[in-house]
Amino acid sequence: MDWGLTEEETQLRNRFLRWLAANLPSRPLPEEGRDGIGYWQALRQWQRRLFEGGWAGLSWPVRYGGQGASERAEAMIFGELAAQNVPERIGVIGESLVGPTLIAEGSEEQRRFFLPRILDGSHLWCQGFTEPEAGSDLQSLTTRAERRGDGYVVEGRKIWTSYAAVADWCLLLAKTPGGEADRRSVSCFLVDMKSPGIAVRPIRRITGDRRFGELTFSGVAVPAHRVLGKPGEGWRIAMRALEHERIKLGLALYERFHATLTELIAKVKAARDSGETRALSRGYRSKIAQAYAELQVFRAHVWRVLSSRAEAPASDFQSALLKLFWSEMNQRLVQTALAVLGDRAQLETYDNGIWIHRYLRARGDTIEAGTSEIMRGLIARRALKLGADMGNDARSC
Amino acid sequence: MRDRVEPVELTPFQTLLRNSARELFERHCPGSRVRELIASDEAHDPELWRRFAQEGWLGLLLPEACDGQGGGVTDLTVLMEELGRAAVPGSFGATVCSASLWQELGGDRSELNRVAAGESRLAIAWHEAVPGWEPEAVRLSLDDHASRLSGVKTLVSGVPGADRLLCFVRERGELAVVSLPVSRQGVRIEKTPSIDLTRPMGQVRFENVAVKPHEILGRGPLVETAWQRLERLGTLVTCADLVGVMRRLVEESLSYARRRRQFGRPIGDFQLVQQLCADMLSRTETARSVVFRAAQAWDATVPAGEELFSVAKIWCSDAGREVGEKSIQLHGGVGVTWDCDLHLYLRRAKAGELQFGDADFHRERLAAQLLDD
Repeated sequence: MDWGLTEEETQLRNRFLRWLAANLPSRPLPEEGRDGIGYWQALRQWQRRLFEGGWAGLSWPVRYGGQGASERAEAMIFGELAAQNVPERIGVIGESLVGPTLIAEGSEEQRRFFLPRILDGSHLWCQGFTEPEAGSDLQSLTTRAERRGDGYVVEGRKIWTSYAAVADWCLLLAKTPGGEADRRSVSCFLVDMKSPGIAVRPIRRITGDRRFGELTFSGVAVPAHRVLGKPGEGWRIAMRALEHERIKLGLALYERFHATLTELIAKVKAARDSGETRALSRGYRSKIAQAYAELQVFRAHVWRVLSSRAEAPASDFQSALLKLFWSEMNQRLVQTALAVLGDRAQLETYDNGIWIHRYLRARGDTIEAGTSEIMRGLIARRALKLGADMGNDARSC
Repeated sequence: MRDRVEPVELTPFQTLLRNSARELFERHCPGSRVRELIASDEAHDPELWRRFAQEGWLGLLLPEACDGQGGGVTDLTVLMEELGRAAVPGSFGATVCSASLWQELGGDRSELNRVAAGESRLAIAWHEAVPGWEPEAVRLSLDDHASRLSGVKTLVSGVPGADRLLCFVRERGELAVVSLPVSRQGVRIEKTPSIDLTRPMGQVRFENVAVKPHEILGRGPLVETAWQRLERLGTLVTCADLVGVMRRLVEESLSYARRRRQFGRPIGDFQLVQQLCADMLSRTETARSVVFRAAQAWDATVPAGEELFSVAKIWCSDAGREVGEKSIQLHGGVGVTWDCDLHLYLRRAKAGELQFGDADFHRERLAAQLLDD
């Protein structure tokens, strides 16, 4: 990633690469989809080590324990991390979504309490937005937080929650109807997952793992000082948080997909050297080249969006465009990989089932954090100003 | 929407360049003028060409010693995008690329002065009866004394109209470039009507044409390198033009989707129409990013950028055609009528898709870089 980095960014990257070389876990961390306690523990330790090395919260202000680096620099470090084929940072929701939102919208007390704990990995976060009856139509959510005494009481269900099983805290969206207030009033809460009344049910995904969860809130008490931002502003806050995250993770996604393609190319070459000719046929070659081209286009686009964000906020449709692009691109990439590898790739014993896992996991790419259909609608409304009378933008995130 | 999607990393010079180009074309090259120009053989506008010279655009890439501006390829892509957006007729791209080849081969400086001043237009003759974007496809040979040329070059962009031809030939088997004025005896030029009405092409027949020694600009490895560089430059110029074409198509489609009413509401209210538009925008914006990036790679002469030219061409070739086709679909019946300008853009997109190799050509080239070692 040597495209037009500033002097500072280059130094930061070099410093990080030196640190990484000395600190990468000696044993490879377990792959996503390989369940068990060891997976979570290893990832927690890894998050902790990143923190101790000074590599957590890079773009956060110094007074909150960050490094005051640019978003672009942080995205670049995420990218370098992903390039090493290191599994996700388990604190990603806290670090990339909750933290920046707290910095922008939180009270001073909230910042002082939560931010250090996000950075050192002692608080893992999950996100309680989607509900069984409120997926794409998130605004129809029915989880309610009723005002009672000097706090709130939450009733409702949240679903498809990643990290549900291990999270310490939850960023929760709930309706806060107040007497004369708008029925659509939604607020954002910071909820302790150890609160009485929260039940977590694991949900098995098509990949076979249980990384999803369903959260049930039955009479969960949340103190008033755990509302994030002003009551009734939850919608705006949540949407901003999502957009922020969509853009910043771009380079890391590029590196992850790039690592997959590099692995595939190495396998094709190895097959060729051992006398197999199949994967070198013209159709497969063309697919591999196309996958490579798409990746580079994606990288160029992420870089452009990140670079423009450094000076002025990018138009909000860019986050939708990026999400749409990478999710569909990755589906094509894994499809190409399976086609090129041939029949044996369907075996769980082939490369420990990682190609099957990637294929099945990629189905969720175009669904999670906004389906492709919703993303296209967003682009049409925001960038193209089409169909403005179809309703509030916010309805579809 | 135009201003919402500008990249902010344009330099002040590039912003100025884009604004003056846009303003010039809006005033002097609207759709009605494009129609007038394409009715003529050369699709050439002398007045517009004079303005190109005045603005310094014909010498944008040339060093100041040749009356050029010493600009970068990134600057040129900014300008090309505006040319594509207005479907400006004529051989601007061909002339700029030719001048660059001329300079690279150390051709006579006075000719470059004339190009920059708008007094001479150049064209490059690559193809023959069996067209191909690899040097191996060049078969046309100088005679044994390297003094006579007989044969045919096809698909020459910028003729009729060019004053001078840069022609890839073989000299005793080696790749070489000869420069010939079209006025030379035995040079016969014929327009070959083609899909792109805005950038005509022609066939050049050489009938025992005399070639003077100094007209052989170079040969061997020097020319092979120049071919490679020229091909990349041409690729970028073509891709930037395609981005401009796509932008106009998106703008037209949006405006139509808002204006056209069916079932009692604008068709832009329908989600399938919105999807069409979102995909067109996505293609266009990402194309823009990759072209910009490849141009920057060229200017900084980043060695890692080699495969980026194929990447850009793969993406822009497919995207340009696709956006062109989708915009016609979106316009319905009116989209397939001659009087609607869309087909001028689709035609330009289709020609741009093929020029310097289509997506399949570059996928194979890229695959060779990725897989064959």
